[in-house]
Amino acid sequence: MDLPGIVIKLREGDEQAFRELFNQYRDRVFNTALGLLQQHENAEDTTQEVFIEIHRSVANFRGECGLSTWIYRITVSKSLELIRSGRRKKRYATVLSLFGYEDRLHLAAEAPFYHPGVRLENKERAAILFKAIEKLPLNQRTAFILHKVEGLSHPEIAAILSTTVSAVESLMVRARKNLRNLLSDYYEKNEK
Amino acid sequence: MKTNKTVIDQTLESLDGIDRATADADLYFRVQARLAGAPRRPAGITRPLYWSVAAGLTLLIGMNFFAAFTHYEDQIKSSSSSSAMATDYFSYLEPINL
Repeated sequence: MDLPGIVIKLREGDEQAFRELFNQYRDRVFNTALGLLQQHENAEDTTQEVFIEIHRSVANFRGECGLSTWIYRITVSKSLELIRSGRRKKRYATVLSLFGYEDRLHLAAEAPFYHPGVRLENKERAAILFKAIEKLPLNQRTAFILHKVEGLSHPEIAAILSTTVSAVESLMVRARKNLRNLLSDYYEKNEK
Repeated sequence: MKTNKTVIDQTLESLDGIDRATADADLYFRVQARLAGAPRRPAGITRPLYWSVAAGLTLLIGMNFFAAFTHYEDQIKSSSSSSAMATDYFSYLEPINL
């Protein structure tokens, strides 16, 4: 079944069409969420949230953008929502720690992230890179992950972020520059 | 310095050739279970609406409390002596005819 056909069937409440859409996009959504969130469980939860949102709001999908773009937009939105709420919890945990209340979950979140799709020989360096990516501003982080982890082109990313191709290129340049600085600091501190 | 730059470049290139991660196979059934379950929030009640109503109720209760407190203070000030207070407390009693 082609994508426009799936959308029509989805609006009719066809569960088979929903399953087909799910199978087509499951890994794309999960991989994007995983790259942004750097945590398997959160990425699974977000993936579920995305498909629930698709199921609920497909009737409102007007086809102004492609179906892929729409799905990626929801994925990015849900992932960033979780990141922002996680930052609020971290600030709260920091305040608590000032009064002697240690948050073990907060400490566990600092463990390195190993993306399952990274080549074995690059595993350790990729973990260092992901730590640096976490420090980027959210717009740079999103553009970088969509390009490097999900393999999307700059025009595709521009459509998802509702911006121009040149804006995406600018984000990528700034992201690389910031990552280079972060990695330089890291390797200087960890040089033996 | 040259070595450090190479290490940084290697790190920046460490995601090259990355494969897409795959989600668990049972994720579909979890999604279906959640779709079949009760909605988390009653339909029509959005978060801004909820907080607006909560703030409005708090304000209303606060204003009522303030008004009641101010009215009570006024009553205390306006009474000339403790007899006024006594009248309040014992007003339910009939006057004793001596």
